[in-house]
Parts: sequence; C-alpha cells; structure tokens
Amino acid sequence: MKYLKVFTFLIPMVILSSSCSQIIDIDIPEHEPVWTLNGNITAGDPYYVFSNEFDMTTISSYFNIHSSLLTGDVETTFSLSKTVALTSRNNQHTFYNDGEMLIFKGDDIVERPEPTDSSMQTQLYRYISKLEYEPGETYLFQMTTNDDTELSATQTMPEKVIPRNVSVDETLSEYIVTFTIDDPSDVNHYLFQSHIILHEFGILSAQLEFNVSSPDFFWYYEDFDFLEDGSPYRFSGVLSDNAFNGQSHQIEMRIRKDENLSGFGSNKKLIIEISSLSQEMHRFFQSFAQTSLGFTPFSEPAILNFNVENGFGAIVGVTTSFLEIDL
Amino acid sequence: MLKHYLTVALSIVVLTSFGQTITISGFVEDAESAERLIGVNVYQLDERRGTVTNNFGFFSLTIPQKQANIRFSYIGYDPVDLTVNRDTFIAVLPLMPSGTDLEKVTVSSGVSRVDRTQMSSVDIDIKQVKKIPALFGEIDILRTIQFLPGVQSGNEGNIGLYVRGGGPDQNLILVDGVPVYNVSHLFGFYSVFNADAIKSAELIKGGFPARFGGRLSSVLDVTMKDGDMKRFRGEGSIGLISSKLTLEGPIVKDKTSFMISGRRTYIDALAQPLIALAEPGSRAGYYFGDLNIKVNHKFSDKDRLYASYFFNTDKFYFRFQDDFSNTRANLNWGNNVASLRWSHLFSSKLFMNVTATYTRYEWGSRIQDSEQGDVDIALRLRSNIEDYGLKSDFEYHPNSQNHIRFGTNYIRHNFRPSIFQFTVQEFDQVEEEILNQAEQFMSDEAALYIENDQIINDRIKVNYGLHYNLYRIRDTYYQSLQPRVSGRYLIDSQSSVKLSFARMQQFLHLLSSNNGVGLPSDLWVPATDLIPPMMADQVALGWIRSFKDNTYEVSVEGFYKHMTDLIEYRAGSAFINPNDWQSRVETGGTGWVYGGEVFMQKRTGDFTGWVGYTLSWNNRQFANLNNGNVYPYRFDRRHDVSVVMTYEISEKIDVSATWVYGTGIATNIPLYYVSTQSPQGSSLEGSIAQYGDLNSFRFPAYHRGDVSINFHKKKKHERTWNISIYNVYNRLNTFFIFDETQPNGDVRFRQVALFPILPSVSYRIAF
Repeated sequence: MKYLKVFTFLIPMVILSSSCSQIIDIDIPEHEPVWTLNGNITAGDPYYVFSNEFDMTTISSYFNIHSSLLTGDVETTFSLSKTVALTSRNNQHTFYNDGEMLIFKGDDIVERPEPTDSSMQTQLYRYISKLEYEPGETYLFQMTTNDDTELSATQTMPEKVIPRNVSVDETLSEYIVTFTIDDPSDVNHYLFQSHIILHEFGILSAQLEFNVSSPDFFWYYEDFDFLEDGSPYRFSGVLSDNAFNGQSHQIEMRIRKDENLSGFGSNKKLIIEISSLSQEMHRFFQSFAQTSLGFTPFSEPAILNFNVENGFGAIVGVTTSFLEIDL
Repeated sequence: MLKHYLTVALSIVVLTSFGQTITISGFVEDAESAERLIGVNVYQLDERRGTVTNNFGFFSLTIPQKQANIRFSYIGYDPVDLTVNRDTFIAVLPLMPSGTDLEKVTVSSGVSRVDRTQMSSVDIDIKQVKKIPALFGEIDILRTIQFLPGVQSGNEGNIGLYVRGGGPDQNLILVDGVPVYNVSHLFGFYSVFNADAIKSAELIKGGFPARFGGRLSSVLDVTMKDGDMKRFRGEGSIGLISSKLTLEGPIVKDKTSFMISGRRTYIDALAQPLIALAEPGSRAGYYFGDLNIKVNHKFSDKDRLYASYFFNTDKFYFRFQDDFSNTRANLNWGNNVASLRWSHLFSSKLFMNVTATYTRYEWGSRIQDSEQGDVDIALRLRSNIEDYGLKSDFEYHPNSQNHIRFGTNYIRHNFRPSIFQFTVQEFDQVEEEILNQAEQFMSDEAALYIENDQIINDRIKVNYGLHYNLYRIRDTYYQSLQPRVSGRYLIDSQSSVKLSFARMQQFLHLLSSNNGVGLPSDLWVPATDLIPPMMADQVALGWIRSFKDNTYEVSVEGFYKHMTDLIEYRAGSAFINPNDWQSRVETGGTGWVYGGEVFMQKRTGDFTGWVGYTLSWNNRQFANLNNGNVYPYRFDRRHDVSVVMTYEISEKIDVSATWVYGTGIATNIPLYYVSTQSPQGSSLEGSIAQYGDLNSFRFPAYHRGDVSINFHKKKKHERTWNISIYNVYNRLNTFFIFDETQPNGDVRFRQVALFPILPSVSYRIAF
C-alpha cells in the first residue's frame, strides 16, 4: 500500500493532463559516447581461509564469488566499454579488447592485464588481473584506448582491520559477538556480513541477519523490502567511523539465530566478513544503490559517482578480513 | 466635494500643545465604505517630509514647525490638503474614490517609492489585478505577482512563487498577519486567494525590515477587506469553472462590519453526467472552494477588534457502487487560518496591535470499501502542520526624525508528517490500527524585533533593526541575531539610490518532489537536531527614478543572496514514504543567487502597466549531490521578461495584454546508458541509465501572451463582462518530458504541453 499516494495523485493528474494537453516531439542533443572503465579490487584475506574444511562449490555459490577465489587464484576483472545513447535503437554496450592496460604501483609497472573474451555471444571482453593487491598500497590504473584516449584511476587499498578481544554470547536468542578493531585513519566505512556454516549430513550455510548498535550503522539500500518493516536487523550493513576515527573501538554485533538450523549438530562456524571500504568505494556504492531506488516518477535523479579520469567508470577497492568463530 | 471636506473637518479632534513641533496622526479611510486605507501618502507639501499609513490605516507625522500644509494622496482617490498649526489627531480622514467624481486622477508627488527606505518591494494594485487576463477567467493575485521582476513562476500554470532564486517554501505568505502554508488550488494552477476578498497586498523581495522573519526569500503580506461600515453591498461573478460571491456591510453602522466571500468550482458538477454515462454506478469529481470571513468592531476611535477566518479546500472524490460493494475514495487538502487582532492607539505617537493566530494545513486521502454484510474497511493517510501564535507589534513616532517599531512573536508548531491508519468496522465494532506513523514534532519559535526608520538629513534616510530568533525542538536550541539595514540617498526630488542588507533564518523546510508540480503532499518538516535551520544573507543595491509627477517610475536593482544549510531530497529518494524523512535528505547545502532587475512602470492615466526584466544566476552545492559539484537550481532562469499593459478605451471598455518570457527550467532526463560493475562482489556488467550532471538539461524557453477585454456597464449596479484569451498565440510550453520507445525500437523524447489557446468568459456584478 505504500504506492497508494502515488496512484491517488497520478490518476487525477492524468485526467487533468489529458483533458487539454498536447504531446509533441522534442529534440535532444546527440550523445557523444564516452569511454568507460570499470573494476572492483579486493585485498586482504582471501576467501579460502576457511575453505579447507568445507565444500568449496557450496561456499562459492553462497558467497556469490568465483570458485577460483577460494583456491587462492585471485582474479580482478576490468572492462572497457562506451556509453550508449538512450535514444539508440540498440542500447547494448560494446566491450573493447584493443585497449592497452597498465597497472602501476608507485612508478613501477606491476602488471599489464591481458584482454580475454569470456563470452563469445556477448563479446564481453575483460582484462584479467592476477595481481595480489596489498592493503595500504596505492595503485594507478591506466588504459589507453584504440583512439588514444587515456583513462586513469588511482586507488589506495584500505588498511586491513584485525578484530581482537573477540567474545561471543550464545545463550540468548541472538549471538552477541563483541570484538575490538583499531580503526586506521584512512578507512571510514566498514561493510559487515555474517554467515553460519554447518557441516553435518553435507554442507549447510545461511546468511544471518544482524544489527550493530550504533547511530552510524546503516545500509545503502534502505528501501529494500526483504526485511520486515521496522526490523533493526540487516543482512548487510555499513558502520561509519564518525565516532571513532583513528581510534580503537569495540563493536557489538547482535546476530539473529536462524531457528531452522537449531536442530543441527555442534559443528558450526559463525563467519563475520568485514570489508574496509575505500572512500571511492563508499561513494560509488552509495550512488549505485541510489540509482536502484528509482521506482517512481517522483524519485530524485541519481548520478553514479565515478573516479575514472577522462572518462566514466569506477575502479574501487575493498580490503576484507574474516572472523571465524566456532560455535 | 464640499460635503466631503466638511466631513473631514468634522472628523478632526484637536489636541493642543505648545511645543516647537507639531504631530499630526490619525486614520485614513475610504469615504464610501469606511475601509481603512493602507499605504496612503501623508506628506508635508513644501518640505517633502512624510509617511504612509500602515496596515491599519494609521499614520503619525511629526513636523519641526508650528504650521504645515499636509497632503493625503492615494492612487484612485482625490487628494486632500489640510493646514495644521497644532498637534492634531484625526479620528477619520475619509478619502473620496476619484471615479465617483468622474475625474481623472493624477497622483501628485509625495512619499513615493523614491522617498522610502524600503527597497525591493511592490504594492499590488488589486484593481489592476482584476483587469489582467486570467486562466479560465479566474483572477489570481499570485499570477499577477509572477509578472513582477525577481519573481518567477514554477512550471506551466503553477502559481508557486520563486523569489530571487528561493523556493516556494521560502516565502512568508501572511493573510491578516497569519502564515498560510499551502497557497495552491488544483495542483498549483490557482491560488487560494480570492481577489474579491483582498484589500491590499505587498510583496517584499529583499531589504526585509526587522519586523519580518522566519523565511528566507520574500514576504507577501495580504490583508483581507474589513467590510463596509456604511452600507451593505456585494460583488459576484460567474465564470467557466467557478463562481464567487462577496458580501459586506455594517452590522452596526459605523461600529461593526462584516465581510464574507466564497468561491467554488463546479467542474465536478458539469462532468458528473458524463462520468455516470461512461461508468454506471460510479461518481467522480474534483472541486475547490474557499471562504473568507472578517468582522471588525470599533470600540472607540482608538480601539478596534478584528476577527478573520480563512478556509480553503480541494477535493478529489470517487465512488463506485454495485450490488456487492460500495467503494469510496477521496483526496483532499486545505488550510484553516484564523486571527483575532486588537488594535489600540495609546497616543498620537504610539500604536499597538496584539494578534492571536491559528493556522493549519492538512492533506489526506481515504479509501473505504463496504461490503454487503456491513463490513467496512478503510485506509486513511494524512499529514498536517498546525501553528498557534501570539504576537504584538508597536509603532512609536517619538519625533519627526524617527519611526520606531518593536514587537514580539511566539509560534508553537505541531508537525505530523504522516499517519497511515487502517480501520475495520463490523456492525458496531470498530477496530483501528496505525499501520505506519512518522515521528511527530512540536517546536517553539520566539522572536523579538526592533527597528527604526530614521531621517539622518534631507537626503539620507536609514531603516535599521535587529531580529532575534530563539527556536526549540526537544532538547535542541537554535538562536540567531539577524541584522537588517536599508538606506536611501536622495539624488534629487525625483531619484534616489538605495542599499540594503538582511539576514534571515528559517526553521521550516518543505520537502518537495523534484518535478516542481507542487503536490499537496509536499511535506512541511521542522529543523531538528540533525537538520539545522536555513540561513540567508542578501545584499541589494538599487536606483529608482520617477518622472512626470510619479506617473512613470523606473527602478534598477542588483542583488546577491547567499544561503546555507539548505536541504534536498537524497538522490534516488522520493516523497512516497515520509516516515524516515530525516534519513532521506541531504543537509548542509549552499545556494547562491545573484542578478539584476529592471522595472519600468506607468502608474496612472488611461494607459498603465509595466515592463520587468530579470537577469539572474541561481546555483546550489551539496556534498553528496552531483558528485559535490555546483549545479544550477531547477528554477535557475537566466532571462525573465514580463510585460503588462492595460488601456482604458473609455469608461465602458478597457483592454489588457500580458506577455512573459523565461529561460527554460533546468531539469534531468536520462541521456545515456553506462556499463558498471556491481560493488557487491559480482563482476557481472550492468547497464544504468544516467542523467549527466544534475539539472543539466533545459526545457525550451517559456513564453506566452494573454489578452482580455472588459465591458463595463453601470446603471443601478456595475456589471462587467470579461473575455480573456490565455496563450493567445497557442505556444506549446513544456509541462514535462518523457521518453517513449517507438515500435521500430527508436527512443524519442516527447513533451507534454498543458494549456493550448484557452478562451474564457466571465460575468461580474457589483451591487
């Protein structure tokens, strides 16, 4: 019923408008295609830290990541494309494999990612980077296109946080996990997710809802309805370090127990995934979420926040760490 | 005429004193209706020293001489000259409307806009408003104000006022001293002001005196008619979409009078048979209406009580009934505004007003379904803002050089942004459940002010003052001291330069949808601990010159306005769910508006009118909007031109024409798709439609011409036929733009133009 208001306004507006309105074509300036370079970079713990105990296929599908990541074969994919005019009859993007990509660390070229064609049908060319990105290091990504346009982006990988003084209280209806982090000054936002993994009669896994009691805890997609309205729990959440920038801070996560899993055995692990977001990643993520909210004609316009110079696109990074708790 | 002057003479009560100065004070009224006249020039003929009557017709003029010749002049009235040689209090100085003597009026020089310290202000001539062409013949004071330089209209047909780059929420719109929150009928196509009920209106765009506060961009001070003290009379009109009737007269002659004015549209009544034919069993419609009531009682020459009430409503309704169910739905919104004012004259030098005020704006929608078996289910959504206030205003004229005003104002705001309720009624049992409710707020706003209009010497006059605000919401307090100053330097008797500075603060925000349509659901919300109040500093510099005894007037003004702590909806948000509105807004925005205005006016004679031109730049910046870059405000309009002309061919016929031109509105349309990777771990490519920079696309330029002709006939009663043509050359101005995919796959952008050429006719009778 949340759209009730929209309908109650739209109906009379349409009646009113159609009564004496006229519709005519309007000329829009022709759109000049703009080069776009994208890539999401991850540093920190590889996902496979806990994978030796469990079935990797289940975990990879569950975490929505490529199984190669679980084996330590880290890959980062970059793509090069051009914008397409909205008025174009064919609004499919074309991806290019004839650019030259260089990755610098300091003044040194550390990698020349090669283009591959991952799908013959869509011509979705990607530039594959196998570099292990290091927390705290700054990388320059440079792409020279076939018309000699030079796109570039700089990304400093956030420092990794190592949770300490970890304790868990399992006695209540929630798992109350408490730990301390030392907030690096260059990190402003932490993305949390929590999972439970069981190893009994095969593999069972589930993402758990949780809450962090802080006024600076939020989620980019506030409007998503997958949670009960008014629920304090989220499947994913971001904690801003407004209140503890550069200091040690104790975090309390209240994780809702999944009653469906209560009957299973004792071989359970609680996995808390902590991703330190770079400032560019935070801005891009925020704007990406805002573009997804445009459900109504009355929504405010949202513009993606890019960091690629001389073109569009985002090359943004996170540094992950995992906290494993045996239950 | 002799009788008229005799009346003047008899009305004078003489207070004697033997000082070196004399003070003349009193009230100026319309001789026929005893309606107090606002803005009458009262000045010393030989010295050009003078003042104007205030909103209650009161004036006080102290002269450093033992004898003076005083003239009272007002457009549309015969001037009156008096010679005074001692302190004089005039309980009633009646001015005779010039039309009754069939004389052409030429207002002679006096305290014109050239002399006043107040700059950036315009007095709206209600008589001229009634001559200007109107949409569907419906006369509208706000539509006339939109023709003034520095004032822009919003979208096509919208009566929202965008004054010197401010939003429609930044206008303090007062009816008899009480703020009105929503001034639009029919999504902004008409204003709630019925011109027949209005006595005067003044718009101030800058150089705000200290007595005004609470909004950033303008003050529109509307005063309703008091009611004729001498005889019963009325005025009515019938138009294509509405009719109205105004009655006024004495309850006790020369003591108590009333004025009542009502208006209602009948679009719904006309459409009803067609709807019933198309959909048997259903009824649907829309109407708006308003009601103005005012009673004033004169206890003595020095005490008066005014009670006024103003109500307006808009309502959409739909009903459907068959053998199984009865469904009813409606959407309605409106204001209730009331005031009770006591005016008291302590002495010829000290005047006081105490006013209790109440204002409430509410909108709501309701869907109700009754099934056979008496089960009644209803969903109700409503939102309101309600204020109670008490204010006092004093005017003190200690001597010939100073005119001091001071006062207090207190307002209790109650905000209920939204409540969503579900009701089930089965036989006599009623169950109510609140499904969703936004947080309610109460806040207190208090103000103190003092200002002085001081003559420094023959050429320099300065108005300076302070406005102090204290605002509380829960445990959060905001306070500010707002300096106001404006000065005038007389170059010669016909021209002056003026300079002003004003700091304004606003504790209310209007969360408005981005399309500028002006929906009733636009949400009034308070400044809170998370959302600080907005602030604006404005400086203005102007030159004004009158020609030919005030017949012509030319003014040029430049202004710069800097606004801080503005708010906007967060990118991607919409007004649909106001429950957590505080998390859906961007705060800390900054705005800059600067530009120049030219206003050339012919004020008297057969041919009257004006030409206005505004050149302005209007930008905003928010840390989290448009990647933190500066962007043009939606109503950034580089050029704005308006021409208003009225020509009185004879006593029986007058014609009017208006023309407006404005740079197109800045807006957003998706222009291209960009590929992107999801930030949530997936490297799969997505495609997202993008707008380019915020507000980077412009509607085509807006322009429109309107004409009208009035035929007057006067025997026993004055009757007028008005024929208006809106958009006479059928310009298809953009209302909104949308994209449409053609069958061949092409995407085309199309615009909706709302009003083509629209002729209308109305008939008016005054008795």
